[in-house]
Amino acid sequence: MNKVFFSAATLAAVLLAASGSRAETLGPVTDALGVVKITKGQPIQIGGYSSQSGGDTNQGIDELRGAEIAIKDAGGKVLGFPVKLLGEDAQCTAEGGQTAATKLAGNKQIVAVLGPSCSSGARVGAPILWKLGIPSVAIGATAPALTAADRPDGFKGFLRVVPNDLKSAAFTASYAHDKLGVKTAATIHDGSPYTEQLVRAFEKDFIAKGGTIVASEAVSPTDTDLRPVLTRIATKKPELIFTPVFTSTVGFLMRQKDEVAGLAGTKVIGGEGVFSANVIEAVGPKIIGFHIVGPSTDLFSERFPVFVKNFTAEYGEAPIGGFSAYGYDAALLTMAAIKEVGKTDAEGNLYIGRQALHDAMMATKALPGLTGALTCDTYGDCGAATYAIWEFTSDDQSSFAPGTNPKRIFP
Amino acid sequence: MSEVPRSATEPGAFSEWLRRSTWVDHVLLAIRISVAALVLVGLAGGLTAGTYSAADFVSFTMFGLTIGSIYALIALGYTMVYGILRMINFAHGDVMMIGSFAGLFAAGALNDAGLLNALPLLALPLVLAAGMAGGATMSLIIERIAYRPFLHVRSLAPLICAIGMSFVLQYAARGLFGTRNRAYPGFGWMEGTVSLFGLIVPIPQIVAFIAALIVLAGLLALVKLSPLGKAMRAVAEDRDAAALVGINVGAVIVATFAIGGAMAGVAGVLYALVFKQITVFMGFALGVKGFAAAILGGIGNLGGALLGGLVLGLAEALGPALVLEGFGLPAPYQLKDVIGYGMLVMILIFRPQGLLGERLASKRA
Amino acid sequence: MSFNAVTSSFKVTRRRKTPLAETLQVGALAGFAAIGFALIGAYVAMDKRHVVEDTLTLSQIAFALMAIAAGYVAGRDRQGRPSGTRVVVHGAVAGLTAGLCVSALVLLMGSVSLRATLVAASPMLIKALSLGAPIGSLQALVQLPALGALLGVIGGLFAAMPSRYRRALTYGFAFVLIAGLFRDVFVSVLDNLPDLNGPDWEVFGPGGLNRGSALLLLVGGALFCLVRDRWNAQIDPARRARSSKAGLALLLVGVLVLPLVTNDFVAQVAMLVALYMLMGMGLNIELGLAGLVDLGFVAFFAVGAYTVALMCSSGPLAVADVSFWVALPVAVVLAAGAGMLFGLPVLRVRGDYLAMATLGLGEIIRVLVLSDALAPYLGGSQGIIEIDHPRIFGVSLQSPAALYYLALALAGVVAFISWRLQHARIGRAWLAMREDEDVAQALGIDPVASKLLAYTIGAAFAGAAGAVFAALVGSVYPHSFQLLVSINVLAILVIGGLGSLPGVLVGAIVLIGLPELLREFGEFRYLFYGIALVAMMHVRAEGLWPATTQTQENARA
Repeated sequence: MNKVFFSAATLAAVLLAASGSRAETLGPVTDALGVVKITKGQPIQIGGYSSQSGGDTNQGIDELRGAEIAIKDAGGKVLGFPVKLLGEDAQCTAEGGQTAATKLAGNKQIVAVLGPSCSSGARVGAPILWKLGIPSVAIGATAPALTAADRPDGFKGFLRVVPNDLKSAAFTASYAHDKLGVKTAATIHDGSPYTEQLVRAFEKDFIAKGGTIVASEAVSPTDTDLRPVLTRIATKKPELIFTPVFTSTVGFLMRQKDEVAGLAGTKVIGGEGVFSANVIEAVGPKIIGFHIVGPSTDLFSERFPVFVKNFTAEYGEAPIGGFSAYGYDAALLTMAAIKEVGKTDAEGNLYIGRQALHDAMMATKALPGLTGALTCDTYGDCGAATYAIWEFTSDDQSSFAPGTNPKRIFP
Repeated sequence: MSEVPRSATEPGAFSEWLRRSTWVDHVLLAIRISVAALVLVGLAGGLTAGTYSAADFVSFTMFGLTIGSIYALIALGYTMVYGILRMINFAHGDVMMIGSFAGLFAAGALNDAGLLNALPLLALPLVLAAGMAGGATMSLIIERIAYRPFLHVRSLAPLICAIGMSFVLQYAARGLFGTRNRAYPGFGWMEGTVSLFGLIVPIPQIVAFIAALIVLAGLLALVKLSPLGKAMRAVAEDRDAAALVGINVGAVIVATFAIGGAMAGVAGVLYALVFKQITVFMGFALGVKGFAAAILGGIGNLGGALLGGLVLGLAEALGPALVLEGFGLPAPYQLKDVIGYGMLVMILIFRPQGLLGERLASKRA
Repeated sequence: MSFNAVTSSFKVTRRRKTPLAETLQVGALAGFAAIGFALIGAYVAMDKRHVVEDTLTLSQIAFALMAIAAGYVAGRDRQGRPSGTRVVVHGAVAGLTAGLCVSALVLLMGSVSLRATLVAASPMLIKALSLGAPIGSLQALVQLPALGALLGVIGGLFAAMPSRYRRALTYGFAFVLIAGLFRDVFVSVLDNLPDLNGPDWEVFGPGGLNRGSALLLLVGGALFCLVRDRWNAQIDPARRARSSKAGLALLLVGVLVLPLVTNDFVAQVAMLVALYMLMGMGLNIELGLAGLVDLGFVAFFAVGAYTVALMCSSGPLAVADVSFWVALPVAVVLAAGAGMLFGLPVLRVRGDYLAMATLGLGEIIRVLVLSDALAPYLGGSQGIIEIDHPRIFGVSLQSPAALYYLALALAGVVAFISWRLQHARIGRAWLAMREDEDVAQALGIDPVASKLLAYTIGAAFAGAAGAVFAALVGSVYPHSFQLLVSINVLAILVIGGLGSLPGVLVGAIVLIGLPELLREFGEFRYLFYGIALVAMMHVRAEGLWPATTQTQENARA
């Protein structure tokens, strides 16, 4: 019996390995990785994968909604062809990313993919897509290794519009140490790879600048009473707490902070995961004076409020996670590249070369996006990558508007 | 299963135990000793580490009592249903979530009507009533769908149905109400703090604690004094016999679910008043903790539910500081749930009848 | 423990209603179901998915089915065969009521903003429910009840139809729905057919079936059903048995060549189904045979996965970098050991208590694996990456298809062991214990020892599944080991049929395969789970493929 299995397995492996290089000429386009032909009247298909079920759902759903808004803002069309976003659920796990990417890869009409939300999914998913010549633009996968110089070949097709953890951590550390003059800091993460990595990077940079990390704590996203852990931090008397955790934990933390003796004067800096109106609702009056690290560009200040308005009109609630803006930018970048490389023939069919599309995406320069001007480096980091510290000034959630509430205070 | 004797005063007791015990008893004894040793080592380490001052420990105690009174309110609902049906209402935590949302919408309506500011003292009872109504309604629906059809047969069906209902409630609520964190309104007078024995305590925490006591007293009175309570006790004792003496068993079960659901609604509203924000997914984890509290105190025992809730809350607040600190672990509060769930497992293994004890030993559970 | 004699006295007796009142009630129920469907956001989400290209979306089909079902129920629930006019009238009334409910919702949403409370009551929903008519127009409001009435009549007629044709129509419709819903699978098969290079564009549009092929499938499905029924009626039982054997062989061949005729995605889904089958068979020993409710099953899955991760990774945390084939037995043994260690203390508690105790244990393991305290050894939230793929005869098993065969082979081995155990002395001991522990003990069965054995073997199977999982994904993260995994496995058993090996396969296909293929609706996945669990307990508590041969025969007939 097993012999049958193994020979079948070998056969399968051989069959699947046989599909090697596939230079192709179709219509007016010749491409090293293949050409996608879109018949007149049919949509250009863009894949998307993010966390739509499981623990991190609000983030993932909002990201793809952000992308939908970008498509809508472009009139729903590129080069006269309607754009269709095929969203899949990648959960926030490696196996979810794998399955979703495999599903998208099975659709030969897909030209590019937006997502995923989580680095664990990107690590497995991006190579699967790129094996078939499909580039992917990550929305929330911030792990530095994904765009490191020594990344494996499978990640050649991986880009991201969200800046990697190292940049944001370095900025926060220098703000804390150089601008605020803080010498002691504490960190809290919630056990998600994103917050943990960010916190570790911050600790490293902060120590390198001569500061001291007095407490390095962790909570779980379902915790509601954070006062015990805050008490523990209070015994170490940090001047600052850096905690890039998500909305509900920030809500509990800020509301309970003042109930713990000794933390009244301690500053708290949050991450961009809470760059949303919902954090105002979650935290309530204590939001005033709360700092977060977020994108820093004039473009962002100008365009984000409009985006929030459109988003709310479309989906009934304002974006909950802070990452929907990156979904918008990922779609924007992809559509701009399609516009550049798409060629039509006499009958009005559209042809898109895969290698050409990838090259065009990687060559993105100063594309005015929602989070700033997008420029891709050699390794696929396309985020605007300039940061600012934002401070909330009002506890009225309807007043959420980057620029006034929260207000950019540095630089 | 033979009960392991705790004291070996008689000279022959130990050899008698050796003769009568099986290898399972020996392994269990070994587990007990190692758990006790771990806790003792941790305690010694934690106390000598000197990280915290006495004032910190007093604060921890207060935090523990706050969350503990919420656990206790949830545990009351579990205990009532379990006492009567011998079944866990797996969706009880989600009933609490529904109650909490019902309270939120009621508060919103009151606010729109301008009553929230006009009658701040009346607002709390009204919101609580809305929460109770929401919880009771949902609980009745669960009883109708998940329990009543399976009363005649002893099977896993109610447990599975309740797990299914828990999913349905969470994800339907998510679709209906959205995933965002909702802020809970306060009512003027509840926003402040009072000074108690040199501690600054926010008023909602005191309200929650007192409410837990009042609810418990009310429930006790109901169970001990009213005809319904008498019927409930009879059904809990022996359903067949109760039916034989003319008690409407079906109605008693329905009443029990309604009361349990109302308790969950109260817990949901008080939780929200203390912690100020709610989401559709908050029910499950709190429900499991509430169940742990119910078992801890002795399931089916109302006073036990209160005690269990408070003990669990205290263990979660003090445990990391006292025990885990002693091992020098990084980020001890991340392991808070290990203490909570660990207590649940330990109590199930070593004292299934709970702290205060109840008729339900492992035989009938 | 039987309450039957007494409890029947408090059974609820339903008050008899007039036929019209019942019809109205049925219609209102269908209407509320439709409103619920719309307000949880499912309508808008599924409206994007075309089953028949540019003609019918998934949510339109869902709504239509609700109206038809209402008409069907209203038309059917009479004493004796009713006359045609009554079927039509009652069907129409039920459908009309349902349609009015939805219209009322549209009207309400149009005039009052409900969005502060109900987020899905969006302009998009109003637009989708207006079916192309101007929003807020009279036409938009009237067409829904009209359509509802029409569909209700169809439902009523459907009820009055001879069962032969009813079956045929159901078949035809099912063919269309399946083809439209699982478009990707069929397209991948068509892609692989060398002779018909590229006909998929004609059969399928970019979203679903093209109109012509949908019609063809509807007629084809109906004809297929009619021909098959006639065929079955003519041939004798012996030949039918032979043909069912042939069907089984065909199924086996289908399972074996599946990834070869489809694409990587289908192979990946099949691989996940096989993986969950492995776990399902493990829990089947615990729950299906020995009656132990285990909600911490994922802990052993994690033990298996982390063992392989630590032993086969080239990353910095690895303790060894050996072949998968060396690590696999180690993982199984360690998982079994963990099962024994956990099982011993908790197995003395019963029923619901055990469910909670194991749930607690599973969560403890997850929190520990995730914790910073153990991060130096297990990687904490960053997990363990760069796990080598298993190699066989120098070929690296990397593609989903290759890993599918690996999981399938393991599932086969495990199924064989399960089957042998089930029919051995110990299997009978488990069954006896499941039925009545006290009696089993009186018969000389050591409850703790046999429970412990069940728990250990179940854990070992889960460990094997975990090992394959680590090799499949190439990295393990604590977030893959949530409580949801345990509940998934439990649900598979319940849906498939407790104690039934083929039931595990059916359950895994329904609960893992279908949602994976419909991944775009991931938002509603767990809602579907919940409804499936509740509905299953009410409609078919014994599962889709029950264990005992007796019911199995009934189910097949």
